[in-house]
Amino acid sequence: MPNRTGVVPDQAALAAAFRDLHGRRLHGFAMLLTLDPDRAALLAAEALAAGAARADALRHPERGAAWLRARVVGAARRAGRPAPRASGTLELLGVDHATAAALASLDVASRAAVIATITEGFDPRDVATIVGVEGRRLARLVERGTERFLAARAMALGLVPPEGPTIDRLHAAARRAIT
Amino acid sequence: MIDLHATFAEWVAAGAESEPPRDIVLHASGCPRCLAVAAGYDALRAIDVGMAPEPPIVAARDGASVALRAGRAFAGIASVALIGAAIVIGTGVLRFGQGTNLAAIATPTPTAFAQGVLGGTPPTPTATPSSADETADPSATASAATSAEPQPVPTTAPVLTPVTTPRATPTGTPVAPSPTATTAPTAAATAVPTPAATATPILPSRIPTPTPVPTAPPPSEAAP
Repeated sequence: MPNRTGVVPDQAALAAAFRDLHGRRLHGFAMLLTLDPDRAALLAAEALAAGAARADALRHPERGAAWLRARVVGAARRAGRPAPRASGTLELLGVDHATAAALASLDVASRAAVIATITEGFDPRDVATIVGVEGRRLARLVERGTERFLAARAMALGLVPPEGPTIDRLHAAARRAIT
Repeated sequence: MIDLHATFAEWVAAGAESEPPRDIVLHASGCPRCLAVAAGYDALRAIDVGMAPEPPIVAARDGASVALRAGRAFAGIASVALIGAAIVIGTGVLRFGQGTNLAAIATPTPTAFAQGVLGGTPPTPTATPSSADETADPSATASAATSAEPQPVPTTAPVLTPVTTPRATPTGTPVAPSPTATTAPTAAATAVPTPAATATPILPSRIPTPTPVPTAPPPSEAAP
């Protein structure tokens, strides 16, 4: 007989392991995608419940993660574009205001593609599952989404001096080129 | 001319893995716009989605949502209503056919048209008064219906009789003129013999060759 999570008891251990494996990261992905902590929690919980019910078929970690994110993306698409919110929950993930504003300027598919590719480092096959686009269309979606995100974030930052590991690498390369 | 900003942004968007070209490096290291692009990429990679709390536990939905269920229910009700309407319309048509004589309704206009064409006198005014005087005199409607029905029958009968008579007369009479038959064989004979004559000389040439064969066995039998 199913318990309150809709999972048969003999599969409860597998479902619990599934939740432990995917729960936090899926929730973080949903937060970045929706930029709305309440809605992200709901979407992640629903996707996780659906995934836990078929945890046996989603044993592969990457495929399971892609399936869960695809479900969240589908629900977020139906909800439309989010309004950017300054949230303490997003700061937990390391998202500053400029990054949140830049993410909010993208459509859901571009946002999902950029997050899955750059932030989470998924394989292109899994990104294709998440976004529902394959081949050159997917490559264009990721590239254009990244460029738009970078441009939007640069605009949001204004005159704040930029810093980061890529900038450090860039300065080091420039020094080598000069000397 | 190479757009250094765009080239650097493409390098960053492609993953910023290999080292960019020297001119791009020298430009981007001193360009605030390119540095902001690089900082944005770093900010995106610095996000740790694993820092999110556990999502709440909800029950898995067993299939369709409320809107989908409502849509299915509406489709079922609509299909049942459609079938019911079709049954009502069908039974209504059948009752209409049983209660009234459809032939009596349909015939006045064709007969009126036929009489107008053939006779030149319009009898249609007789049909409208008969329908008006239904309650007073039912025999009038019956006589009008019977007078309208026989009229098509005589018009079809004369059309059939001329068709049958021409078929019978040509088959019986042309037997007597035989000269037409004799001329036809002569024409066919002149055409056929020329190919037949070329074929017949070949057959006799084949026949003589078997004739020596029967002659050989008798000497073999005679030797022993």
